[in-house]
Amino acid sequence: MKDFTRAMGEVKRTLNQLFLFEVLLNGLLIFLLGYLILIFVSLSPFWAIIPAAVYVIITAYRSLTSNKARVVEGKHAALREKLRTAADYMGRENPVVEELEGEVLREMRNVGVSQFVNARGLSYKILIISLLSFGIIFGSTLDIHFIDLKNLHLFSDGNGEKSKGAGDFESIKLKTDEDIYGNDDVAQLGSDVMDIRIKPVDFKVAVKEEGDVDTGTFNDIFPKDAHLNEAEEAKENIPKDQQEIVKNYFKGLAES
Amino acid sequence: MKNYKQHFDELQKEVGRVIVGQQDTVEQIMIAMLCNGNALLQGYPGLAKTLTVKTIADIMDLKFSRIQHTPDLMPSDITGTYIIEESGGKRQFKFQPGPIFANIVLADEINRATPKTQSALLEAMQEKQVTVGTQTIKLDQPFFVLATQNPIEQEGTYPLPEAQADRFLLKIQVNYPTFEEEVEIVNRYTGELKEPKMRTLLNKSALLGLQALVRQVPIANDIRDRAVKIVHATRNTKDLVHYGASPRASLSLVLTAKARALIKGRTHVSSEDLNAMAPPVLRHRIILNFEAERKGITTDEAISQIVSKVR
Repeated sequence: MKDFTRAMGEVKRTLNQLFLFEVLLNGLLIFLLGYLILIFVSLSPFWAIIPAAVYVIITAYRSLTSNKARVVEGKHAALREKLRTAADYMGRENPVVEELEGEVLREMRNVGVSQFVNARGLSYKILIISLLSFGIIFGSTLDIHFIDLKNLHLFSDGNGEKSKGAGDFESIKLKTDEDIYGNDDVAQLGSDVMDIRIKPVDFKVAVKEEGDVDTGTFNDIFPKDAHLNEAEEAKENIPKDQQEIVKNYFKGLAES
Repeated sequence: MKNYKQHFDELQKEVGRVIVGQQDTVEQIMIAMLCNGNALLQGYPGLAKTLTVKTIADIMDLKFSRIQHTPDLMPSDITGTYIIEESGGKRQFKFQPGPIFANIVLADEINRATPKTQSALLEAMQEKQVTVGTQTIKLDQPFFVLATQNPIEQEGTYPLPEAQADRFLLKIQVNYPTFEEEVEIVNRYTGELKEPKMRTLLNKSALLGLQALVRQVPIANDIRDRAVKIVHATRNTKDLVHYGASPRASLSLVLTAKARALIKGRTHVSSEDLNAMAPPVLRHRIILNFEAERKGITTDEAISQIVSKVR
């Protein structure tokens, strides 16, 4: 009876270790896959830890609390219904149960750990993990993005109507009469490509390189009916004699 | 456990010297005996129901009695009665035990007796005791009633009260033999008359020991739960069943499954035992509804549907 209890303890421990390994491997796979996807859409890749952690917690809990006797029975038909019965009656003294435990122990000698390891599945998972890791390295190094979700403002005005303005972007429609993008005619560029060259600012002008100087005419655009008056507020109320003193002072300074 | 299987195989073989075929019937009678329960054998006349029970009784070293039920059979004809006895010039009442005071009672054609007489068996079957007048007398152990009945569609029969039917652990359906079996029956019983001498293979103490052993056969929790689910399902399958089985059916199903496991030489109860024992345990405990009867669904078919649905 003690042998059976010990054997069941060993079975539980071994299966728990195997299950945990597989769960962690799957968790890693989910994390790497999420990481790669988040890189491609320009979001913080560390968010990938959330689905991986949720998966690991739920699956590990389920695996650790699962009926191990059933798992062994699933892989070893000769133990079907025997092992779970013996496990349910563990610790009870009964001649029939003792005989059953003896039978189960004999059968369990034919059960190997390798029966619970899916070698092909594990190989595929490790291969996929390796490929994902390479993908992440290349994706990060080459700065590959398919969608820039970080800078994409996916807002709508609630009516499905696009606001006016340059580009195809949807934008928040402000409650003003004036369009913040200015004149519609100017904003017709849309998604056309603009060729803009920005020259660096340089104060040295090479006259030779500038070529012939164009003669331009300046139009007097100042309105004819405009007058210039000194504002009363700007007038200084300084007495004449004092003004004379200040004037002479600055004159002396200038001559010395 | 393998030894028990060999022993039961030998019992089957010994019964097979008289009875051709009917292995399931013999097995189910043995299961009822191992569970210390009563069994009702139902089948058309001429299917060797009585002979089967008598043969099983012959191979066991147990006191056997037979009660042929008729419409004029009185309860006192079964339980016994007080008679006036004269001894030493004095007259006094003395209890004269009826045929119920045996280990195996064959209640032949039980549905031919009136319900009053049938009810006389109730206390004996359930309580293993008989009350006559003011005196209650315990019956000798082991005690079980093996009753036979012809299908109630036949004339001159009284359907068993439902309470009494529920007291039978199993209702065993005795079916017609196959063609080959019938040929063998004809060969065996139309030739030279040679009554085989039966060997005694099981005595009282051995049977009581086996009855105790049956209860020690382990059953896994999920298989036990499935047995209860099957019985529950008979109450919840309203499209087929009008009245479902009582918790007594759950007890009977688990116990008979244990006995079957022992007979099969297994140290545990399997789902296969439940599937095999569900029809004899449930067929007299459920009443089909009108819709099921209209569709021509038999009780066994309804049980089979219920069992297959419960996982």
